[in-house]
Amino acid sequence: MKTNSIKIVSVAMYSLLLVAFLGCKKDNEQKLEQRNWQLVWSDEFNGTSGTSPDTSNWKFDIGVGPNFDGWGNSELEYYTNRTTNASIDSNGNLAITARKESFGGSSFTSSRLITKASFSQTYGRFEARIKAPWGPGIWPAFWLLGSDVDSVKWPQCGEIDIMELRGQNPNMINGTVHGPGYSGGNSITKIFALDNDRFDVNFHVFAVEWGKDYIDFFVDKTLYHRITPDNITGKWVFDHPFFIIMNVAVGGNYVGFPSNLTPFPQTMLVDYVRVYKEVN
Amino acid sequence: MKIKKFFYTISALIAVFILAISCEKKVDDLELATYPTNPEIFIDGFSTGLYYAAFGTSKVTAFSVDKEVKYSGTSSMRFDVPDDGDPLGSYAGGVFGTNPGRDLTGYNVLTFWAKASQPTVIGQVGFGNDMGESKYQVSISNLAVNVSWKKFYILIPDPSLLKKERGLLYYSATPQNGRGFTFWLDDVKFEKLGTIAHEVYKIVSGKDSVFSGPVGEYSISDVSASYNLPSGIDQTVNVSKSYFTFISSDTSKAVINNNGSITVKNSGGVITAKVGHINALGSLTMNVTGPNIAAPIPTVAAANVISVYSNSYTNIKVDSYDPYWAPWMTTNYSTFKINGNDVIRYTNFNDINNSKKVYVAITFESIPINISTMTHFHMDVWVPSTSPNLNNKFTIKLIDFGAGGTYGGGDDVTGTYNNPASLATNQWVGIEIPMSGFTGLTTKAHLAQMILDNFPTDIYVDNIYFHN
Repeated sequence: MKTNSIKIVSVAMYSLLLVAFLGCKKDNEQKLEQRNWQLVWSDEFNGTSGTSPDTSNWKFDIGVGPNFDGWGNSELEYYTNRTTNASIDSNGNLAITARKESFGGSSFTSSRLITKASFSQTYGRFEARIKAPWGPGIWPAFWLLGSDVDSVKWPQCGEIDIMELRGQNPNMINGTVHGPGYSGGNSITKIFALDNDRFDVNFHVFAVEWGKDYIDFFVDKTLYHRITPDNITGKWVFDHPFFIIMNVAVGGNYVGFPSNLTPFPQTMLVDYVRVYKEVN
Repeated sequence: MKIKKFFYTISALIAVFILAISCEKKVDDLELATYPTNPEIFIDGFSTGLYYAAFGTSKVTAFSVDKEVKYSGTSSMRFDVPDDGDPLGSYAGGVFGTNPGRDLTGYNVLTFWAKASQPTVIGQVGFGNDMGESKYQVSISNLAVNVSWKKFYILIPDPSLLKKERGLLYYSATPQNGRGFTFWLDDVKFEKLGTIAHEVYKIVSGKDSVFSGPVGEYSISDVSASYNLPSGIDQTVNVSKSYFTFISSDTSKAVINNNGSITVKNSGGVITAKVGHINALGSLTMNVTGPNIAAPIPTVAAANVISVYSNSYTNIKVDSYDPYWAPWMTTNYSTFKINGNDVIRYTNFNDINNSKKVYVAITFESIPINISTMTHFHMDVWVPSTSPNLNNKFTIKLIDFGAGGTYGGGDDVTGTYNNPASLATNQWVGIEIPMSGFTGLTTKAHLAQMILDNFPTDIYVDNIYFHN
């Protein structure tokens, strides 16, 4: 495992309102507070092209959800562990591909990868460099879920959505937290939109910096959303380990449903996922 | 203005000086330094230099400026599509342009807001129509508009080409179900949008295709462009071939020009294309299956010939080379030139899947010919080795309508020649048959039809004549 210590200059919010909502111009320099991050876990996806991602890091959620309800969201896809849905590409990226095909009683297939069995962490910087898919009803996500989900259940376990995109708005992502009293439609969320650009044409780094009493959401080097116990409308449930999930859903309550105009297949490319802990 | 003029003059002088010391460029290349880059066509009125020209047969009063209905500002462009039968014109259509043109290289999309008096389609909306060469035309066909305003986007495939575009907007709209309607456009302008993405260009519908046929001139087909809109869905547009750079893998086999015209000389050339730096999907491999040389020039003196089909003689009046006598004749007929020499191609001849006997006729019933003094029948045939049914042994029938000179009447006779062997392939074969070989041809003064039967499926024919 790599342990190279790097310094990432982070951000304190001096005037979040000014920069948060619709993009961020470069001349709106944010005042940055310095944090030292040490890399503790990563997957650079530099394996052999066409093979599955490293199974010592990632396991697959398979199917349509434990309750057969599209993972609680009425998603339409069947998640598989096939390389046609998740594999390393020739450029050293993980490619998660949603396809329009009949499989297991569903009309679409895709993949959902989790680190539940291999890695979880409390606090730190979680980041991934991603090029998004697009099209109405396409719902890519890079997110964290509380490792105690099986015992305390959702939303008590907590959920941190570092990046979710609705394919019909390829220039916008949401950063969101869910917990008891603020889940689903009542989650605490904020949009970050690119100005005259889209998230599916270039890679962007999506990250949270998470510590005791704060979760900061970043796109590239811009902090656009800070959540503290004061912001949320219920209990703060973000002081225990969370694991990583990456998936591309098709349809569902959050995104709406694909139409016959939605281009398929759709691929989310992930250059890397890196997790750091803060060191003094 | 004066300062600008002075600038242009100085620029031109400097340019001339540079040209004078560099032998690379001709003075013809010298142009004014820049064309206007104004992106606006119609925001609340005509932008600088904009004119409107209605299409010749359209209802020329269809366009007006509407100060009541608008998406924003103070006015919009209004188009009243006529009802069927409107004496002033059967459709609405025209061009908004400027002369000189505009430099649109800094933009990537034409955008506008549109709505109509009813949910309907506008036949075509686009740009690049300058009522002349219209070299760089792009359009959306059947633009679906509704009663509420919606924004539309028409891609500029390679903006670097539009240095002086005169055709900024054009439209054409016909009545729907016989009835006219009204539609409005507003805030019509060129923009540089990062929210337009994933351009895809196609030739031959994006497929890797193989063409099999004779040498000659062809045209690349089924070019299109599509791109993803800010809403995540794809938009497909019609595009001029001029946006494409066509590439031949081997110009000794196939040459393709900027208009997409292909000259096929030999097998194996592969045509691909690019738009800007983007490779187009689709390719066309050109395989020559027919003759690559013309048939031998006949040497019989014209005075001794009655010619049906040849560039070497004056031909009789032929009514049809493929009369398509239903239901038997499924043969397809076409002609092409080899080095200026006309050749007939018959395909789908004797389709083995067709239970009926398939043959083709050449008819000259309107003026039957008298071949009484002729001693031989001649025809040149090329059979590609790729043709199905190579083992077929051909039959030729000559039909004489008898003294009456018309079909039927009890005096029609048929002369039949059955060739004992199949034809050699990939070469011109001169078929020379003495008239005595046509069994049953007892009268020869009113010959009106010729039937070619049981040939291989794909054949080329030239120099059909009688002689003595």
